[in-house]
Formats: sequence, structure tokens, C-alpha cells
Amino acid sequence: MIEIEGLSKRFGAKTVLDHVSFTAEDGKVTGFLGPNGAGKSTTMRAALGLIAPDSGRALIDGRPFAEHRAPLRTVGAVLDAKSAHKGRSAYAHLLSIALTDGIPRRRVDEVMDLTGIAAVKNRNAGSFSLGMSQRLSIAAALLGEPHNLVLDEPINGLDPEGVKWVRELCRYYAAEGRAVLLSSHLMSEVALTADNLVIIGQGRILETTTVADFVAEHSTHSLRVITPEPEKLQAIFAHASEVTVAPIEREPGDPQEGAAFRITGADLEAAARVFAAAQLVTYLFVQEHASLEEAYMTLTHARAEYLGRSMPATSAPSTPPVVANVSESMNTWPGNNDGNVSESVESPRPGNTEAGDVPRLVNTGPEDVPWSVNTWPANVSESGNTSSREVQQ
Amino acid sequence: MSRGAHAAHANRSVRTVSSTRQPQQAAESVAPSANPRSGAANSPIGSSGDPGYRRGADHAAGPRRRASAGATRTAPRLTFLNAVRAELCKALSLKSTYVLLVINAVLLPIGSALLAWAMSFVMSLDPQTGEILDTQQPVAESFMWSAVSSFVPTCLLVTGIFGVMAVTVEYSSSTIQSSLVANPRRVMFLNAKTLVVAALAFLSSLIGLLLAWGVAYALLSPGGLTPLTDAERALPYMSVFGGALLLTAMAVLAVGLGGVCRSTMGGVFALVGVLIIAPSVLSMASLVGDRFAWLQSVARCLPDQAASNFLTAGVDVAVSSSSTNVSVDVEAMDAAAGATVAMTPDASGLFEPTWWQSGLILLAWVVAAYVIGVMVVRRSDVK
Repeated sequence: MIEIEGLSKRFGAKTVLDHVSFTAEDGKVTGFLGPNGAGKSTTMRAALGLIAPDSGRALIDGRPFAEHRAPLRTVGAVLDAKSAHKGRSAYAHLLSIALTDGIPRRRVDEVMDLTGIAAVKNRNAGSFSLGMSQRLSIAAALLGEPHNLVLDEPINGLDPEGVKWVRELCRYYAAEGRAVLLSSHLMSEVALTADNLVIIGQGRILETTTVADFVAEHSTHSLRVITPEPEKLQAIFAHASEVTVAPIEREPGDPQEGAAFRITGADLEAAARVFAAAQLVTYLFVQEHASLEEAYMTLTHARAEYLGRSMPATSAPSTPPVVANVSESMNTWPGNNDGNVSESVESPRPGNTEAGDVPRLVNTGPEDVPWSVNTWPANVSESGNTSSREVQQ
Repeated sequence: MSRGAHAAHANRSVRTVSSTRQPQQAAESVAPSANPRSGAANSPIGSSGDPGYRRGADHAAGPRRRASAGATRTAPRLTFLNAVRAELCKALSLKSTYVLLVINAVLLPIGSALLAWAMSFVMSLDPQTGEILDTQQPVAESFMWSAVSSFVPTCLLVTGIFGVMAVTVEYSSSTIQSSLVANPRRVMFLNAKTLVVAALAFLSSLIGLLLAWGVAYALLSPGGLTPLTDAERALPYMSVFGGALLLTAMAVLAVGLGGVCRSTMGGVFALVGVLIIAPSVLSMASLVGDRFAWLQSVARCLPDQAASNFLTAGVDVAVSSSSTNVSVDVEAMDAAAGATVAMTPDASGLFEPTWWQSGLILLAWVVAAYVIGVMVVRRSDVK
């Protein structure tokens, strides 16, 4: 178990760590996330006594690291991919580390075998690629079969197989009841491997959570819809305050017609039913998962977040509210619908090329639709131009 | 997604969706993390299908089983002896170690050979006429011994660089990180390193000086050697073991300098400054006028002059054509005999340390540099 308690550290005028506290529990992989320069490496070095904090302390299995009688059995650390002397053979590098704690030579061969560098054991570490150096660093970390693993961006430079292997290694060590502290600047990598999540930015812990909670909190589903009837879509959700409809850029491979929207806060099935009832034409209607990467970036890039708050005025649709004549409450989202949606304000959005083609939403009763909702029309080309365009293409 | 659209979503990060990824892929990448423990709980390694990894699992479990099965093997742990073995392994796995130690062991006999050869040439000349004699005149054995240790002051730089690099290479190659993770007790780490550096420097110097003895003997013995006087009895030991000790002491001093600087460039420059630059600056400054003559006293306290003076063992080896005119520094010998003798100022009022005082001065240098080096290494952050 690695306990970080109120670590603070300044390098000159720059505060690198600001009361950093968290715990990497036994049996768990703790993902330690933060952008470059956030203080991940400094924290890990402080935990291992390489850096003396200005205040606070770091305990490993209840004691400062330096007080352990068998340091390599206590902690295995990957701090730097290039941690071996260029002119020293890989084997000699590992042997010198192993000898420090009286680890038998046999174990050196084992870890070289384990990390896949046995074939190059007598080559100088300076001739290693980044990936090979990383494997050598990992091999050194595993020498003592440590009870705690501290891995600072261990997947840097590794090939996909190596990345998978590190992932499994972390999971395996955690399953054995050991503590694994894994730093990364990639949310996706940590999300795949870690149980707990510690997010650091500018030397401060921004969030301490579990991956499951983080996913649950940040992966709210959203719907991506491309429709030729933006006004109708807006009207459906006009009175549902918990639902947001925002215009987005088209993705490659999307239909070129219609306007693209992202709808958040709406359930897939309910939305589909409402769309069907309102007879909204959609060219694309899919559910999407929020990207953890973006949620994490929003969390860490504090400045970007502030910038973002001041900008919606320019980027959000500035069109006046488009309220269609959707008289039946059933055809609108069942949100804060106060019932007085009878007024029909037509104001096509100037940026929308489809606006002119879209028939006015006055009197879009079910009787106007030439086919029933659940059958494919035979005379699709003769039907209204809202749907014929895509069929003709 | 455009910058504007991104910004628009930034304040609603929860609902932000990656638009660069296909929805299906996004779903896949998120799905496993939603229940990250499930895979591990079912089969921590079985699911991997990676033979290397499976092997790793066996290995990982293996030694622990053995350890619990029988107490035949002591549990791995950090001891000073283990730290020394690790440092020895580190030193012997670097080419620079061999290069410097071989240079040291080769320079010493080369210096000895040069001086002995020059001496044998001088001894074969008639002092009055300058003509070459048929037979070489005998040389004082004390001179042979001074030839043996003649290059010790030069080689101080070599063992010094060896000592500096032993520390600075750790920092420049960032092996210091893995070294200090394997051994977080920095004082023990540096002591172990210093012990190895000292042992290797001593061994290399001893071999070099023994070779130097052999070379000098081979060149001077044909003309005959006049035996040592009683006052010179210590000279053989001083030349060989004293010389080796001096070179070793310099290596330890340099470990301290390396610890203070923690960069090869800085450490070597500090070494050159102490051994070469400071003495020449002081000697030149002392020539400016009588008012600065006292600087010579300071210069005599610098490591290189202290080392040279220590090597003489109080024997003033002067070579003359008669080759028996060896004057003994009686005063120094008296000082050595009387342990309570204070620093003896010479006639000019300048401090002129005796050989053993020079030895103590050098020891003070070594201790001071090493202690400061250890303190700096112990306190400095390893980034």
C-alpha cells in the first residue's frame, strides 16, 4: 500500500506539488492520471524518497521507503524508460540492481525472459530502442517480486503487444493483493487497467475516484441525429430542460444531407418513440458514449474549461427558438412541458441549407404522412421531398 | 469537432462525446472499464493467452514458494555487503573503469622508466669531463625509490577522474534512480561505492607501482645500487604503498567532488582546479611580491603539494654525481619522532609542513570533500 499524505514540493518559484494526498490500495491498480508536467513523476519520486518533499510524507506499507530492509521486495519502480547506462550490458544492469538486495542471479534471467529481452542480454543498453529500454526498466522493477509496483508511464514506446502485456501484468499483480500505482497521460489506457483513479493537474489532486464511478459519471450516453427537419427536432425538446440539443459537425461517413445534432440527456428508446410519434425524419440516429478522454481533458485543462464557458454565445446556435406546431404533448419530449405549445413560429436557420426544402411544420398530423410508421413505403420516390432526397442518392 | 463546438461542450463535460471515434469503437473501449475487475476475477492470467505472461506468473509464484518451503536461502535484503557487491558489478561492467585503471597502472611504470633511464644516462657520464664512462656509476637506492613514485602526482588526476566518474555517471545516465530505488540509504550507497572505488584504485596503483619498481630496478641495477641509509628505511614502503594510498585517497576525495557536482563536467573541472589550476595560480601570485609570499604556505596545503611532500617520507633525495650525497631532512625526522611538535615555520616564516603533516593535511582534504559530497548527495533531489 502506498500512502501519499499532503505532499508539497516547490522547485524554485514553481509549485510542483500542492498538498497531494491519495492512497494506492493493496489489490488494486491505481491509475494516476495527469497531463505532462502535472506532478505525476514528482509524486512518484517523492514516494520513493528520490525527492524530498517540502512538507507531507509518503508511506509504503506503513513506513517511509528508506526504512525498508528489502527495498526491491517492497517496491518495483519504472521511473524512466532510459534508466540504464548506455555502455553497460542489459544483464549487468539488472545484476547490479539484483545484487543490492541479494537477489539471486537466477531471478535476473527470469525477468529478462519474462520481459522478452533475454535474447539481447549482453547487448549494451545504449543500443536499445525506446521499447526495449522500457522492457529493461520493467524487468528491473520486477526483480524483487515487489509488493508494490510504481510504474511511471510504463507503456511509452511499447508495441501493442507490450502494452497489452503491461496491462495484464498490472492486473495480475493487483489480483495477487499487491498495490500497483500506474501513471499515464492517457485516460483510455488507465480506464482499461485501473480500478481506482487519481487525477492530478498542476500539482493538485483534481479527483480521486474509481474507474467505474468515473465512467458512470462521465459516460452519459448521447444521441447523434441527422435530420432534414431541425426545427421539428428542436421543437420536440423545446420544453425539456434536462435535454440539450446541440448542432455538431458532421463526421466522415455521415449522410451529407440534413443537419447533425447531438442530443444529450435523452434516453434512446424514449427518443426513438417520440421521434416516431412526431414523424421526424432522420437520416442517422445512433447512440454514442461519452469519451473518457474528453471528460478527463476537461477536468485537467482548467484553463480550457474557463475559456469554454465564455464561448457558447458564439458557437451555440443563436437561432431564435423554433417552436413547431406540435399540439399533441405526446409528440414532444415529456419534460417540463407546460402545454402551451400551440404557437407556430417559423424562422428557418440561415446556416441550414435544408431549411428551404423542409416543409413547414404546420399541420404535421399523422394523416399527412403517406405511409404508416412501421412499414416501408412502396412509393417512396413519389412521397414528400423530405425523404426522397436520400433515396434518390 | 470544431474548436467552437468543443468549447461549447466543455462546460458540459459529462455530455461531451468524442466525434472522432466511431460509436461502436467508443462503446468497445469503454465497456471493459465499466467493470474492470471482472476479467481479473475470473482468470487473472488465463484470459491473456500470452505464453510469456503465463510463464511470468509461474516465475512470480516460484521463489516465494521456495522461500516458504525451506529456510535454506536467506531472504533477499539490503546489506552493506550486498551494496558493495552491486557497486563492484557496476564498476566492472563499464569500459571507462578499465580504461582509467589501465592508464593509471601503465603511466606509473612509464614515469619510473623515464626517470630511471635519465638517471642511468647521467650516471654513465663523467661529472668532470662530461664524457661517457665505460662503467655506469652506482646509484643510491633511495633515488630508485623516488623514481618508482615519480608519476604518482601525475596519476592523482587519473584516479581522481575515476572517483569523480564513479558518482557522476550515475547521475548522467539516470541509473541513480534505479540505484536509489534498490538502495534508498544514500549514505550506505555512497560508502559502498567509495569502498569499491578505493579498492580498485588501490589495486591498480599497487600494480602500477610494483611494475614501476621492476622497471626502475631493471634500468638502474646494472650500474649497482648503494644501499639505503637507516633514515631511508621507510622509503620503499612509502614509494609503493604510500604512493598507492595517495592515489586511493585522491579517488575518495574525487568521489566527494563528484557528489558535490553530480555532473562529470563539473566534477572533473573541480578536480583539475584543485590539482592544477589552484597550485599554479597560487605560485604565480606569490611571485608578485613579498607581501604575497604567504600564499606559498597555502599552496603547500593543497592536495598535490601535500601528496608530493608526503611521498618523500622526509627523505630529501638529491642526486649528485657522487651519488652518495643524500641529505636527510633531519628536522623532518625529528618532527616525526616527536609527536607533539607543532607546525614548524621555516626561516622565511613560511609554513613548511613535514611529510606526516602533509599526510594529515591530505587526509583532511579527503575527509572534508567526502563528507560534503555525502551530505550533498543525501539532500539533493533526484529528478
